[in-house]
Amino acid sequence: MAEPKYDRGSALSIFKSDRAEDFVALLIALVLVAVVVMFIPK
Amino acid sequence: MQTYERILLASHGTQGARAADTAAMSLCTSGAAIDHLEVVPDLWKGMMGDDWLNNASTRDIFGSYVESELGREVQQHIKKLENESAKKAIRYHPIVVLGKPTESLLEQATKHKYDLVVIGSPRPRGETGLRSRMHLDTLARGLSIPILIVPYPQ
Amino acid sequence: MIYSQKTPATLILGIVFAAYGWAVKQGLLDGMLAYLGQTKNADEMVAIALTAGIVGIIAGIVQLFATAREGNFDYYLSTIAGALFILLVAAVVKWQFAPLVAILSKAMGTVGGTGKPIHKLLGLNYVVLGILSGIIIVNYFKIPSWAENGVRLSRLGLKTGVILLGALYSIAELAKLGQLSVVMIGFFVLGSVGMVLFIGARRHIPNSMGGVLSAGMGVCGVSATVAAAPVVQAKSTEIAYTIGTILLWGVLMMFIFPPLGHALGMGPVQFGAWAGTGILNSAQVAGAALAFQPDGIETLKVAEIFNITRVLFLPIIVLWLAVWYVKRESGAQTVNVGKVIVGKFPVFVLGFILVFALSSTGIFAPANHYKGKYFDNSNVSAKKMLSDGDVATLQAQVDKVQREDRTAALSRLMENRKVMSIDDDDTLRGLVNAKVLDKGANKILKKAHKAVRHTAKRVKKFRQLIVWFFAFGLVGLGMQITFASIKQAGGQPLFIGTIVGATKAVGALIVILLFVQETI
Repeated sequence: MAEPKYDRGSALSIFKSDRAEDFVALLIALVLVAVVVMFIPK
Repeated sequence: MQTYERILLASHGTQGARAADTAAMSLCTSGAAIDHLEVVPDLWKGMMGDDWLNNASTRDIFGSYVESELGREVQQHIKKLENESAKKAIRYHPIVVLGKPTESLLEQATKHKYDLVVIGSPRPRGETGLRSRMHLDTLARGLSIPILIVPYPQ
Repeated sequence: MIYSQKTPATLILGIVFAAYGWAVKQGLLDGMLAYLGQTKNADEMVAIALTAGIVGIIAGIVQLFATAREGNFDYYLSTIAGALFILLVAAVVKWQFAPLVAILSKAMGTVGGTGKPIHKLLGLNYVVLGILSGIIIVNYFKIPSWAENGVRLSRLGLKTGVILLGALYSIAELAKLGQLSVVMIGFFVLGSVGMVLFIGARRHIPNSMGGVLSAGMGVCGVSATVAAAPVVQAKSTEIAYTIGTILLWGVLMMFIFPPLGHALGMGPVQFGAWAGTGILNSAQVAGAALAFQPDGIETLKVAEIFNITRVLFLPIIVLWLAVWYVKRESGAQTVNVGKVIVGKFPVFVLGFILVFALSSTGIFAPANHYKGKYFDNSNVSAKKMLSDGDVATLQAQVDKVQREDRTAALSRLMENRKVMSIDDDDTLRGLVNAKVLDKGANKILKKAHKAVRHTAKRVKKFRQLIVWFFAFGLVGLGMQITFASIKQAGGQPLFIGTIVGATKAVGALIVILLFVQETI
């Protein structure tokens, strides 16, 4: 019907699957955690 | 009754639209052509709204389910018109687009030389259905050919 | 397929951010920041604006001058413009527009006999205004084509926010909130699903409509509708009605809940639990929680636990409906239980648990922290100890204190010149709040309290980050709410949905006011 606008992901997410989106979210979160732990004193 | 050679019919399966279908058929003699524009309203694109919890697979299943459901409704309607026009020897040509009803109709009207545009009337208050309809004012201003608005069946 | 466009937009956005960050850093905007009451956010502005600026400028130059080749790099590069676009909306709203609205509203004076200015009454803070901006942009201005690809990042932002949120809970807190949410959600989910099916049966709606509507009303609004529609083979109009109804109520409730919560004098736990149970759509739960308490995230913490519980309930409801539907309709397909659970399980919840586990090892804050504060009296500097004069002031008023525990805590304080235990600290705080002693003495007690209570700096940083991820995600989700879909609210779903939604909101409110204590 409608032409595909994106050949990967969906109109709602840039990732092919939500598993990927979840893992990327986790990755970003862990990187931020690491940055905070490294640069901010307890 | 005046007859027409080529009619642009815009309808999508509601009761008001069925009345438009019948009227368009009766306005054609055999050998005439009906271009049937069936607009799937683009509001469906916003239908997943702000869902953010589902997996992509769930959304895909939903998306293709809605598509097949809409497709099935459209096909049913087209099939019916096809049979009716075959009986009357009217050349029938369905056009399915995804977009806004008014804009799509105006666009289609410029593509060929039509004698008449036929649409149904807005549904009466209290009747249920999707809220997506022709803006008659915009149509009246934008069309360069006559338009017939068929009354809602009583 | 080539995604990145030859547009100067990314570069321009980058330059705008960089210029703003630089101007704040140089103090060029001090006057404006002071007027808006945003001086305290200057550091945040510099950090965010400069980072976004650098990313935007680099990405913008690459987009403009390099030849795009199909592939991962091109694909991800194309999302940056949209991400910056959302960030810009969020930043303008948070730093300029919301403070300005507050100032204007205060200037207009208080409304009627409420004693509050209009923006407080309506809860017009940056979260609500941000979501509204998103809705207005998509409906009236259209999202520019170069930004479309990046708007699809808003879910990622929300998920990252939820995962990071895991860093903020202590074990005790999570256990209690978890129990509370399972009881509340369980009760109200089952209640509203049952109620929809009951009313639906009396009004003779088709099974497919009852199924899709009960999922939407019961669990997480649009998400549940999306998950349940194919299972119960809903007709297209039934889906449209249901989603329209849920979006309509979701957006309305986001405006109704926070002012009502304030009017009823609810605290973070009560409000978070109420919003988490009563608001139909899950994105608006987070919005309402942040709208209720924009300066802190205690409410969001509570509300998100409820949201996570709802997500975990989703597969159960879908399965239940599948079984229910198969029993009633001969043409229905049977379901594979395992497949549904695996397919619907949200992995980001595991991320949340992982970060929570990290947090309970004590790397972010001492293990005994409570809401980001912890007790430590080992390193109180001489300056922060009570002076002889302080002790004399307190000594003179000891007789006013009636309760024994308070007298004991007070005498230990005077003896050691600092608070000796966490229990003493709590007791003395109670003494301050009871206003038994005079102002001078209370001031001394507050000083002693501050000397031993510490905010964990890392926890504080996490809060800032989380607020931004949620602001980003919610503005982006706002950009996906179209009036065209809200307008579809109608038919039986609107009628039944209104009854069930209102019953659920009121019922949850009553249960919470009666049974849920503010302290957890």
